[in-house]
Amino acid sequence: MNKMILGRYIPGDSFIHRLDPRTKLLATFYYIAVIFLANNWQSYLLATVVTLAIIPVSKVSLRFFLNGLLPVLFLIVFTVLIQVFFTTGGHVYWHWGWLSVTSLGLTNAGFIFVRLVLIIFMSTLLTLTTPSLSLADAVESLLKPLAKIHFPVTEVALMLSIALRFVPTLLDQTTKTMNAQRARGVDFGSGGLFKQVKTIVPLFIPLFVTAFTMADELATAMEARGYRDGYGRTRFRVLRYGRGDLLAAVVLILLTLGLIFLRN
Amino acid sequence: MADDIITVEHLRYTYQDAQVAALDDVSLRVPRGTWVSVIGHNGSGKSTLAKNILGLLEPDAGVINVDGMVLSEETVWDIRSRVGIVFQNPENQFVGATVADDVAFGLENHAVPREEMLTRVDDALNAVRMREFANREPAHLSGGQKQRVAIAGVVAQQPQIIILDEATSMLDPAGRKEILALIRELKDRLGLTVLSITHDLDEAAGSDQLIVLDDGHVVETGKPSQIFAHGTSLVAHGLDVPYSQQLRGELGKLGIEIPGDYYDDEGLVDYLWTLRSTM
Repeated sequence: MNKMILGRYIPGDSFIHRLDPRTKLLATFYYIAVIFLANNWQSYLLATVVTLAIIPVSKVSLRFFLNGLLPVLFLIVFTVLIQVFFTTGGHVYWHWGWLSVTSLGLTNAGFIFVRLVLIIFMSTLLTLTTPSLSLADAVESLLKPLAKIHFPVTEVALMLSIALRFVPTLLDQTTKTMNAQRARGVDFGSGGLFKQVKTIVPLFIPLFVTAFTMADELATAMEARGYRDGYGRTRFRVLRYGRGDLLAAVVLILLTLGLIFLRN
Repeated sequence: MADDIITVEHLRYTYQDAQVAALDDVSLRVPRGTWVSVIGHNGSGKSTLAKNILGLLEPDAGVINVDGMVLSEETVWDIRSRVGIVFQNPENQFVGATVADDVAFGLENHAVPREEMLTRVDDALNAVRMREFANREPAHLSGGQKQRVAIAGVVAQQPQIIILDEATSMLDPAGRKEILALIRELKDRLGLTVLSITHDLDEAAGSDQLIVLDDGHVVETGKPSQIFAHGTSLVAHGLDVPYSQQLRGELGKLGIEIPGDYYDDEGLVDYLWTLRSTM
């Protein structure tokens, strides 16, 4: 239970760590979109070189990036295999029923593999160098224009930050409840799938009850400290763009131009 | 009266679906600058009282007056800015994602400008000696540290009154002592009034005034020494007289009078062993 799902953040003080979270968030989305411009080996090579040049700037060990691939490894392998066997065109190397390995299929598979790995590297870079709280701030700041159409941006942002803040608390509570049940003879993690699921159900009920108590007490505490709604509040944490953010934008623009120039 | 920072008159409150009133005809006054403890067993209505004073619950009847303002829908936000409350559970009152964020939460709500907020948060964290923890996340703090952050949140708001709603009951004895010493220090330095809801009699014994609550009624009001002196009535209201106080009563029966107002266990031991000592 100690493996944090959200908290993959690796503290540091690199150039990338210091970038405004909004820049990082937007840049990641932009990168994912722009990489689809690449359609030949020259443009993929450029994208790969740029990405591999950016990663060391974060001063985070490459190991963490490779670990980031693990959860989606199956997806990558699956997509690549589909490409290999089902894309037809060019020289046929092997053929069996409706399966075939062709030169075009292999090239496409290679491109898709590189594209997926690069996308995952970049999004891993985002989560490794940005605390989830800053990400929540970035989302709030970027959604701000929606307040004009009465979308409750500040409330949603507060909800998000409280949700993030309570993740470790609820994990703690889960461990406690599990231990309490273990002490009374529940055996977690053994037996068939059905049996394992059955031991999980009694875990959820006390957890829900605690979560509701927490929510209730938290709401009372918030109200006691003068919380009304998102309006008329001032902000303690503010985001400011710096010179580094400009540089990041320039790098992305150059990458885009390079890709456009190199693609067929 | 001008000196009473909180007055409650004939307050009645009944929870939804409850048969009996949680508070029934409760009247009390808290003089400015004093430490007043409200004691009573579980379910005696102590916490309900605190929530009524802050307007978190709406009374059925009665008048609550805080710092010269009658509690109503118009004044409730002003009152909340003058009253800080520390609740029982350290975890469930921590709103911010980091220590500094949590201290700032109340200030954000009261629309304090950011520049001022930065200095007030810093000062408040200094006051509770948690400054080096400013960027920590609550998951990495002990219960006592979280309560200190909650106190910093109150201090940053610069209130007149601090209400402690069993603020120390989930801490270990050392943490409890530390928090109480801290509150006492802040009270003296900032000229605060403290209303402490508690069932820790050692804590209550140190206050200027005690209010004993039982089944939603005020059954006794007075100085701790007076109330502890006739201990039998406390027992009748489901409270224990502190052991040191029991011993003192027994000694008194044997003709050994112990001067002073109140001793906790340690204090009484010190008094006794030095009583005949000539060193």
